[in-house]
Amino acid sequence: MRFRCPVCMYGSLPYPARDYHICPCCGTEFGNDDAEFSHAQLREMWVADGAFWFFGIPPRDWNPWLQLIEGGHPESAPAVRLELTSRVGPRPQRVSFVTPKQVLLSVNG
Amino acid sequence: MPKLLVFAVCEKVLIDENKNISLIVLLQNVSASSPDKSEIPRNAITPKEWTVFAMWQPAAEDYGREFNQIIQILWPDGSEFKKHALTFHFERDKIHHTRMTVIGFPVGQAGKLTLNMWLEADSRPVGESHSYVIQVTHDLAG
Repeated sequence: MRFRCPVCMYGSLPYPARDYHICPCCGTEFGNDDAEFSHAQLREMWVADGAFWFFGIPPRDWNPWLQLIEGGHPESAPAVRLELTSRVGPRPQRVSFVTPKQVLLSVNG
Repeated sequence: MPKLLVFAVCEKVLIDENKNISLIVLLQNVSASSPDKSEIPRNAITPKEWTVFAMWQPAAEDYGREFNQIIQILWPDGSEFKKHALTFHFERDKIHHTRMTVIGFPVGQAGKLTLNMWLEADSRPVGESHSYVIQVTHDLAG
């Protein structure tokens, strides 16, 4: 069974977040650090320090921001404004369809 | 072998009650800037939902076979952001479409964000791999 860290939202804690267990991702010691600060405050501090992996080598392709977003804390990800623009050339070519009647008028006129 | 009819990346896919499909805002160029014009962290992901859409037309021999559609998303430096596999079967005389909603858009690196997609059957690639590229730029001045 795996447990989720309520601070950094790492989802593979081998033990519940209590009883002085330490999260290998953010380094929170449950029962000690979170006795002094709330989980939100600890998260803010971890993010302000760069959101680095705390102990050993992080899992392959681990990303702290994706972990926070998927864990329900998108507000903790870096504030980035996105603008979407097109790479399409001048203007899309428009193909007009004409009715048989219009074709007839065109031929006659 | 299934034939790829559409492979596109967009903000949203709408499907109405008649099963008509609409793709909303194809992603081509994404310009990212931070509010204070500071440098964007190289691993930054912004909380935006986006969708990868594909539409396949089966050949007669494809019915009853199990296919895996693999989608791999690569950061501009070539490292993997996400890889996702979806298993499906074709229904007779029906075109099959797939949608993958991705939560979080990788903006930390300027360059080409590449999506590769291919089919596998019996753990072997079927047909060619297809790519879709989104150009990510960082606007630090404006």
